[in-house]
Amino acid sequence: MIRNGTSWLMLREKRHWRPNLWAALALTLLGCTGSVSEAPGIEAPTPTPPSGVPSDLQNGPGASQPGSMAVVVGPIGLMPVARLSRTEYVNTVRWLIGDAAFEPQVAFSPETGSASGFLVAPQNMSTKDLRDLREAAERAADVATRDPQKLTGCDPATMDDACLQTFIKKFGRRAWRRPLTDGESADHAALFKDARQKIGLDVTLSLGTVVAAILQSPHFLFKWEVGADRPVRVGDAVALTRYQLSSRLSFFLSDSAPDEALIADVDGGKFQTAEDLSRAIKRLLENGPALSRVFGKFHTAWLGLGKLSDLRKDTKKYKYWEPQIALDLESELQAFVDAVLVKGDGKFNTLLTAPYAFANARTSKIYGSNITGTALRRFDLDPAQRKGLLLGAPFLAVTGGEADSVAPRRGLQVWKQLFCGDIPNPPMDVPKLDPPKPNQTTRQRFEEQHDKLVCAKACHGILDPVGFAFENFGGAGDFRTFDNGQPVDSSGKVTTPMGTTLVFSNGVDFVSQLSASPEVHRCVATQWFRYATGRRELESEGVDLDLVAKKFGDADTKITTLLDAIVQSRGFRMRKPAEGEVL
Amino acid sequence: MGEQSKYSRRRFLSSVGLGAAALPLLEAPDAFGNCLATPPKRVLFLVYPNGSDGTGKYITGGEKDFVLPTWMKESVTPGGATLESLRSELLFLDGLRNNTGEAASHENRPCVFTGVKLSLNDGHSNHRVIPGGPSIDQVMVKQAEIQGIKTARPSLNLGVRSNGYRAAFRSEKDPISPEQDPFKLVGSLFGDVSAGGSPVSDVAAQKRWASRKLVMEQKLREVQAFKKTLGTADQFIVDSWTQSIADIQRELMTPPPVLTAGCGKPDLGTVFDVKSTDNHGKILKTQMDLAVAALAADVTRIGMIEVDDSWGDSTVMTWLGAGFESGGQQDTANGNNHHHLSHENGAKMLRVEAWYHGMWAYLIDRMSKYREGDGSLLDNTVVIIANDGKNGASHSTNNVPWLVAGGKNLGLDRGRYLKLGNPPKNGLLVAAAQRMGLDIKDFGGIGAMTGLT
Repeated sequence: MIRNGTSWLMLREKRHWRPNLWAALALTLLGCTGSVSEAPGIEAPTPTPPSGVPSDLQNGPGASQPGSMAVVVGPIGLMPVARLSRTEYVNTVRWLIGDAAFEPQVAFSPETGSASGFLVAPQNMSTKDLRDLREAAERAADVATRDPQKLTGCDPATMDDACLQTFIKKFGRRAWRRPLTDGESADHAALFKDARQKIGLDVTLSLGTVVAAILQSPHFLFKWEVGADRPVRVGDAVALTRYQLSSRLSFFLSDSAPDEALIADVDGGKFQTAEDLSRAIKRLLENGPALSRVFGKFHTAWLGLGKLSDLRKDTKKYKYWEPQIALDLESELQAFVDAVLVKGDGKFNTLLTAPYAFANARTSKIYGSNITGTALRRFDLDPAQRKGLLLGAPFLAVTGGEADSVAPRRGLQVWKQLFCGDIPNPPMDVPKLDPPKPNQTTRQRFEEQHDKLVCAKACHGILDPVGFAFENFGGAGDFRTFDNGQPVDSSGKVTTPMGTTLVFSNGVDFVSQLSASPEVHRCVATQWFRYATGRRELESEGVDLDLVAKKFGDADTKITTLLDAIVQSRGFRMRKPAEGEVL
Repeated sequence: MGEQSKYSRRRFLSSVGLGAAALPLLEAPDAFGNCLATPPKRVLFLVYPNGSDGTGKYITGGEKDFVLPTWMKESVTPGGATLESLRSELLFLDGLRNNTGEAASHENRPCVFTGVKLSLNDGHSNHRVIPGGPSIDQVMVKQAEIQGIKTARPSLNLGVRSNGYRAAFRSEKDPISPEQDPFKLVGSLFGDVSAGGSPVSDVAAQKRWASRKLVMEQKLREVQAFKKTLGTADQFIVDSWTQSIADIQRELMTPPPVLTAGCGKPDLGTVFDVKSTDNHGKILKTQMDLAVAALAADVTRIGMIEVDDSWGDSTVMTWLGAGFESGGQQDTANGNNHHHLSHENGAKMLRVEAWYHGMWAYLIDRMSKYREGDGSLLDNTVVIIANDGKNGASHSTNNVPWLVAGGKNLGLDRGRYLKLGNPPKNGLLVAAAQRMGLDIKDFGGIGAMTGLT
């Protein structure tokens, strides 16, 4: 339901960015009838929640507050039935068993590309996955049961049934992010008994069997959290239950399951109102170490830096290059993101324009700085050469070639990840670039050869000019003013997917413009939304994202403001029921 | 062996990617095997990337008097087998149509062993290839089940640094994760309960095994309850899970193979990093050794080895010496990775091809050394070696040369070179399944290819 009088204007302002059918429909309906509650695809009046189910969150925290962002227009997407990612699994198990150093020591199936643009764990469960997950669960159970008394609070000598059930309910609640039904906890108590009596395992190993079973459950491994509670319909959508919402919130902002404080709120009736949600978000956003994990994970995925660990360079050109540098660059990315977003002012603008970087003796050779030792040290950049994340070594080295720049590769990352532009996949028969001619810069080589090929021009006409902004940087991310004996030209003109033209004199100028571009802010909001929900937004959710982006831009691009706005948005708190789902 | 010759042999081996660590394995015993009184029939599938004939320097001549190109006559061990020395065991099929659906792509791996049209792409620029149905090995697994053929593992799917697109599917949305680590797997295949197999004699191990059975029974109930909460489109998650639980229950219920001399747990030598590109050759060899031992001991009758990724671009064959330095990451500028070289299709690509074919010769030769009655494991196994495409540069999936070997006792008429007119590969896959004794009439609507027997 559109409850916010100002949204009308906001929507219209944004229309030139993203023609939005649903926004238009909603506005028309509003104009004609003054109410959208009867319209198809529009949120219906709030139903009365069944008793025992928190009410306010289902309508959307903030929904009843004047000036809030709870604009509801058009359909929202499905919630993917997502398997825990490796890091989510590890972080959660570490917390559950109280061992911060726990490693599963198995190779989980690789995460694969998804419509969200981010890697996700596979949904299917092949036999090898099950075997690996069993091994990891048994390993975790062995750690958890080192001290059965401490784990359960029960006397191991007797391990009476009531005490055991209390433990099962407590541990299960944490692992499954929702209370176990009576049947489920009885089933696990029976498992313990069978292990003791039928197999003859001792108390420790029987407990271990129960712990391992809980960790091999679909209720642990999948972010779905459907137990006894039933979802509440909100028009064509359903609100996430408090368990689903708290889980989604926690995985989003801490890469781990809800912690004790959040569980206490959820179970204690303090996760029902908009204020409750805001308080929970605020608390999570103050958890530096957890946020740092999330920021590291997001930025690595967002900029395609996942390949850092096997990065290699031409050691004829970069004599200093050694495999360890790839790991240093990974650490550098994390250190930089932490410095800006956790310890610094937290702004996206600063992320792209911060006048400093981190290096150690090895990576200082890329920067041409004089740093000694293996520890990363912060140093000031020459503002005429570099600033921020995109002109730092991690991004430039990953997107660079082994020796030279590869403009389209750098251009592609910016085009897709900062402009949210789509681009077709490259054709299969890409001809090899001719070797450089004498006195020809890399840029000239790309320009000449892509110009010759009509097929290449369509994409490279878009990507190359974006990438040319980074021509002052060689394959390793090293600054250069000459390329193959000729002066480097990193000026250019780029037309964004929304049709804005950016004219820049060099990379520093380009990233400064990106940092202030509302279009980039809108895209960053979109990328974070995709990361948060594990899906791609529907066209009809463009309106919601416009509002999220606006709030983010108005807050001087503070990332925490953005994350808060995403959690408060419909697409995070609600979902379309799946076809055939019994609600 | 004198110091001198040992040294030169080591140097030679390391030059072909089989370093010092692999040495003991190359000492082929006089005879392996004789594990089974009545040897069964099996099929082993292999797929490797970047085109099997991009250079166009392929076999010439006629069906029987065919002439192998020089690069196909190399061995990876001194005095070892070559495809030339094994020619009477080989059936060269030149060429088959891999692609059952849309145009050639960088992601053809899922359509090599599947039989129906695949869909490319998820509608955005994030490319995903989804096959239209199961792969042949899994169709065979199902049929074997129906026919009452039971081995500890329904199939054995191994990977050699294969982390991208999958080759094997139980259904279109249910790709099989191949086992990438032979050192980890070997124990569970050959009776080491701590590694996941069923117990032999250890009481504690027996108890752990029994508790796993209990847990699996409970999981089976739990996933069924979980299924009821899902929408129709997501229920494949539970179907996949249920099948895997059944597989694991089967592993837990099937006794390990009887370990006799020559047919037990193979010695895979010193453990090495199975993710490193530098070890690519060693990983391939070790996975082949493991697959062969598992087939010989009847741990499974259906094997698959997926080598690298579809159009794999991360493998640099540094052991091939000069010209194969650096690389690692995909690169458009000056990489020496396999994919990049396949775009050039020059002399370096031929060396890569020669190396791979030397490895196939090693595999086929090794299988021939496992005695089974009057014959060998090779006689009772059809080996099918496929590639994602014909030519790495165009990524063409038409007229792809496939190599078939062994299968004497399955009636395969070997020692031939057949120039085919680009028929879909489905027919070969059906024929192999039928020769194994499985009642599979067609695959993707295509019946068995004739002229193979």
